[in-house]
Amino acid sequence: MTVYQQVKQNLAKWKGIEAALNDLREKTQDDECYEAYREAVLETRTISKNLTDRLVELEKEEPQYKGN
Amino acid sequence: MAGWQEVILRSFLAIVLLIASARLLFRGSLYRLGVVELVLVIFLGASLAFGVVQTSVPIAHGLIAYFVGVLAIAGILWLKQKSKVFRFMLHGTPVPVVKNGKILEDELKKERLTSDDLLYGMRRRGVFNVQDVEFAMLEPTGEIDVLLKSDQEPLKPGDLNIQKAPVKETETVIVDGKVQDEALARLGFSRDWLHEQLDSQGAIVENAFLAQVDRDGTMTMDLYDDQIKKKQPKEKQQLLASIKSCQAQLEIFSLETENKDAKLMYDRLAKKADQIRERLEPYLKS
Repeated sequence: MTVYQQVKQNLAKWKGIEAALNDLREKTQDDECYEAYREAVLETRTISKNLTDRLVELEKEEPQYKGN
Repeated sequence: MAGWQEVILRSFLAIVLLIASARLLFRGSLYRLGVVELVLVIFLGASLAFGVVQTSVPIAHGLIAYFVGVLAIAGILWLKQKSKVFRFMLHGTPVPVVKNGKILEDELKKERLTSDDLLYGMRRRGVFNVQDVEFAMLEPTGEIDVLLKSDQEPLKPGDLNIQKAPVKETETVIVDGKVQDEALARLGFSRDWLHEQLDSQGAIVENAFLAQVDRDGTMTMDLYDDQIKKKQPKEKQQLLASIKSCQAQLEIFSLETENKDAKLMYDRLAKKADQIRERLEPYLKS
């Protein structure tokens, strides 16, 4: 697997984590839990954003992987 | 009326009265009652019992004794609530019997407590070694409460700086194979949601003896048939595991890349991922 694909896979996993956290956040009855999940969702979003930017860079560096 | 008929009638009345007085006067078990109340309760029982079998005595006499007893108990309970002095007169106060790890023999003698009683009371609290005890109190009920020396105290999560999510009550949504709509409503879930959950764990309502939902909406249950293998919800453990694996992968990216900026970025993300894991661990592990 190329670096590009690996990073892309990692990004996909983070998106999955974000979705799962959102799910838990909506189901929880407890304010403290809600806050923890909410913060974690925001953090995962930052990570996803950074990884997306990195993917754009990688595309430029290795144009042959574009679109994979 | 034949004698035996009257006995039946009186017994019935006595039992109703006893149940009513027990229900109105006391909450919880008799175990916590002081000696005085206990004696009065026996008096109640005895006065009714005599009235039941002694048909030669008018029924009113038994009843009068009973009501005097009830009034006495109610009065004592009321006075106990109001007056600290009265409580002291009735029960005395807790007495320290071990202080700074030393047994106070004089106090033991005063309370007529033998060394065997002391050891027995401690063993009931799970303490077998008097050396481990910093402080012990003889309660008015005769129990012994023990404070262990600080190095003998059981380890608590706080001692290790382990964060635990606050324990919140769970709602019991299925009891004896019947859905508890009230509990579901408190959670804000519908019956459809419950059936979805049951489906995902491969069960039906009639099959579940008990099902409880925790504060995150995770349902755990016990089935009537212990042979049936049910799927336990694992979503939280999986989530934690996937955060860990993603974090590890980010660290690998950082090692493999030759681009300095990218390396820094991966490092930062890996650290962030670790922070997320740390923040969520107490909630996801419970």
